[in-house]
Amino acid sequence: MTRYVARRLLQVPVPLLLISIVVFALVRITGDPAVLYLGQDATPEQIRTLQQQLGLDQPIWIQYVRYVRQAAQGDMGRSLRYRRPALAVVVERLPFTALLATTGLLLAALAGVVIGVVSTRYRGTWGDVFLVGLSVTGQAMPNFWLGVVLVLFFAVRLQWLPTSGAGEWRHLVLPSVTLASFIMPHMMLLTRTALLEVMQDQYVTVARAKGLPERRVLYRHALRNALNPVVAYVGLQFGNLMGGSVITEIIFAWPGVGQLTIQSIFNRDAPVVVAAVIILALIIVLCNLAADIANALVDPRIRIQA
Amino acid sequence: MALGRILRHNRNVPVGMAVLIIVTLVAVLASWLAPHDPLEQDLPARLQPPAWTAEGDRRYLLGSDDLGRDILSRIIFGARISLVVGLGVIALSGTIGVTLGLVAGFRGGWADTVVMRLADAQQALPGILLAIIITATVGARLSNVVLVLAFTSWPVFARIVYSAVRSLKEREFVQASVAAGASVSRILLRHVLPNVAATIIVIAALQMGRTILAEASLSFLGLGVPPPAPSWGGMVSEGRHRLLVAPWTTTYPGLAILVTVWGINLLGDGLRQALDPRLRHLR
Repeated sequence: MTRYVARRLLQVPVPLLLISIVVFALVRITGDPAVLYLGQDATPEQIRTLQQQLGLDQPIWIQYVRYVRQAAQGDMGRSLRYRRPALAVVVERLPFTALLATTGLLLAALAGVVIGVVSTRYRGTWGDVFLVGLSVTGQAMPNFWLGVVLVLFFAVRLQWLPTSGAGEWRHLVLPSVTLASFIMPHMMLLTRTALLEVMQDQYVTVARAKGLPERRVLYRHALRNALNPVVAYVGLQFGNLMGGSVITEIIFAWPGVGQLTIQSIFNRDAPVVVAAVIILALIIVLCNLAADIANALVDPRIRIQA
Repeated sequence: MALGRILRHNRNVPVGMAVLIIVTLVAVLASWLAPHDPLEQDLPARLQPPAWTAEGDRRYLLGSDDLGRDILSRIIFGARISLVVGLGVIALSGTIGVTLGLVAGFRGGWADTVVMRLADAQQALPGILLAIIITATVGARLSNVVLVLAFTSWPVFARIVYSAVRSLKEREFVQASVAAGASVSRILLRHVLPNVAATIIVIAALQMGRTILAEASLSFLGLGVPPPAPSWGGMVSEGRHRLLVAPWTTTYPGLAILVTVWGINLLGDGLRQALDPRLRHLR
């Protein structure tokens, strides 16, 4: 197990470095940071001085190596807009995104598993057909559209919930539902397929042969085993939701990292864009690592295969 | 499995196929089907409700937007953008992903390491976030949207083909052609590729649905096909500020996305069930 964890840990920096190279190169295409920092009125003299100070007169790969060295020590440059360290600007927004991702994920997992179980319990009935149909339709739903429709009904028409912003729990409801809608259908179908598969195993036949009521067979015997792939999926999705909540954050003006990233792209605040992307990628890589290790702990086959 | 048998045994495939054919016909015949020019503005008739409502205007079946453009005509022409992006991205990312997956899986060694580490790196960031960052940098244009979405979705193909090739490589019929001295390209194209073709088709269908959603999301953020071109995501975005007074400006383009992606997903899912015998009896 230790060897497996060590090998997985060694793989962590590779994707981060590749992502950082791409983003670093991309934001440099948009413009010279010195010009962006000083603004339109700066003289060529001032620009040249700042370029020298920041090392922007060096070849880009030297700039990149220096950036990585400084980033490893927690220095990711200064935000051009906020005039503060870029890392601090990003870290401030992290709790908002984490809160949204957590509630969205819990909501999706809870609803997905419950609906999946109900659908399996009444397999083959019209209710099952309806629930499966609903999930398949849910997968096709553009979640920005759902967000817009939810705002129309619950915030504008009924005025039960605020349209946007953050602060109290009521602000969290619509964004969480919108974000959850993105993965809930998959969670439901995953639960249903896993359950149906497990229900064909011999120990389920034995439980039935013992004369146990179907409810007990489903909840006590089948569900526990069927939940393994669902739990693994939840682990993998947390990281994805941290980075994938961009659109939800924009619709509801939720002050998370996704919204910050988009605003910083439009404000040409390169240091914040690069910092936000690297931090999000780091979180996703670590979440995937945690999910893999958890899976390997539960399932020895993974350790041996890897 | 022959197409005829799949169509008879799986209800999802014919329904999904019908939706895809209808959307394709709408896109191809847009100039004949659309009652108006999708860009033509009729300012006196702005924000007209759908024709069947009391205040509706018969000229605008699904209503008009705030520049007086016909919603129905824009949805009809919007099908072109969605399909061009969907098919273009699948063709491009499929070709790149399948080629890299074949080579990495068959060759192993450094090819394996390089391709799979690149694919891992892309998994470290949700595709939509990467697509947003790149389009924001290189500029919103139809060609850029296709390139960017292809760039973010090739790993899906590469991974699946890679693992399929790794297990096929050890099979006797492949070993036999290696022993017979066949070239690598011949082995890959004649022996390995036909065996993963079914999987590739399923992935392509499922990815196409995701791609159309991703294009709509980019257009919603103003990073897709630039206005005034009628893209479904862009229409939802333009209409959302008038949601209360003119809900039809967002509802119908949203429904167009929903139905198209639903049909394509149904097709992909149905094919997957039909081609994977393990899933066939789990319905």
